[in-house]
Amino acid sequence: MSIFRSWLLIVGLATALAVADTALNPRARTVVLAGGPPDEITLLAARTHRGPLLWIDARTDAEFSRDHIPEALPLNADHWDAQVAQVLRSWQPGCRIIVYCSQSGCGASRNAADRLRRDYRLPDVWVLRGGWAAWEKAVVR
Amino acid sequence: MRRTTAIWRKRAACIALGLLAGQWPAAATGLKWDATEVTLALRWNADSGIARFTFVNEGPGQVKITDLTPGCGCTAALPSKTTFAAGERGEVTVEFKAGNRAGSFRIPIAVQTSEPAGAATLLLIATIEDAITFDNRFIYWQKAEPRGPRRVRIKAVDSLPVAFGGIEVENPAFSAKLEPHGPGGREFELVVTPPAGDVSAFTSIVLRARLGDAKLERAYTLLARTL
Repeated sequence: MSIFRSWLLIVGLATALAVADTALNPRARTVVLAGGPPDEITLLAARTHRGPLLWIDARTDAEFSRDHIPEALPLNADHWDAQVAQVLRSWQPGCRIIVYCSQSGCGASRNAADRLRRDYRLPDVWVLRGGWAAWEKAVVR
Repeated sequence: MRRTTAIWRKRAACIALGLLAGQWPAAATGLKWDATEVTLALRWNADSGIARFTFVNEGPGQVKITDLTPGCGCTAALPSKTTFAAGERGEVTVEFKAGNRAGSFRIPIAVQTSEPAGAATLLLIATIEDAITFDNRFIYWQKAEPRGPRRVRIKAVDSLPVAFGGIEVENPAFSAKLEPHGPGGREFELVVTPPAGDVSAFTSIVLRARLGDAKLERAYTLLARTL
């Protein structure tokens, strides 16, 4: 009984600390509750998407050559004009685009997704949460 | 009574351990960054720009920066020196080469230090002014949609003299011409006409422009497609 009470006390204190921390750091709370940027998509959601899907690899050409998601197209800032033409040849209206780079926070996938939306007016463009690392981890499993 | 005291001692020890475990990583980190995110704004004609990430070594001992890896070949990152004594301030300088880029770019820089928990990721947000903006760089005609001409609005930044040198249309089944739009000579419309009939076709359209008094040459690519 006493162990149970101790456990309850620790959980209660931890909860109180978490609540206090959340109140003192509202920005951190937003990130946790929102689950990341609004244009991010999880690998699970990407794989269960019904409908046409176009994977875009925003990593360097060397990384793309080593390995990539099957049927993904390369699109990086170094060869943007040539590669975006290939992407837009493959795209169809109603097609979902998911861009990835090496891992979370790598930046290149968000840059590419932003450009596709802003400059080319493409709808339904997403960024893969966790990037290539998330894909590799899932494949290894 | 003794039993109660012992239980409370155990509880206190558990709580103290829990709190220590929560605080330990923060206490062990030596470099405290003033900001891990820095914004760099560049004019359209800038070749490069420099951002600075400053920090202080708040750890008890010296810290060595062992590796800096930018997430883009367009950046080079250098620390002011490699080893920093306790309490010493320093900075990492990041040079961003704009090249022909325009728009906003997020470039992470991975920092590794001699401390096991000293890894950090800095983020450079570089915004390069667009000398010329397009309301769309991709136009397309759906299947069975009338194949009439489409217009793309083009605008030069304020007070920038611009002259277009030519238009190259890769696929001759398409045609494109540039028309001035409004007064001032800084707004234009590109009129793109697709091939007649229900055919699938694709083309790139390259616009060559000379910008500013120095007449810097830039090429802009638009894409057009019939489905």
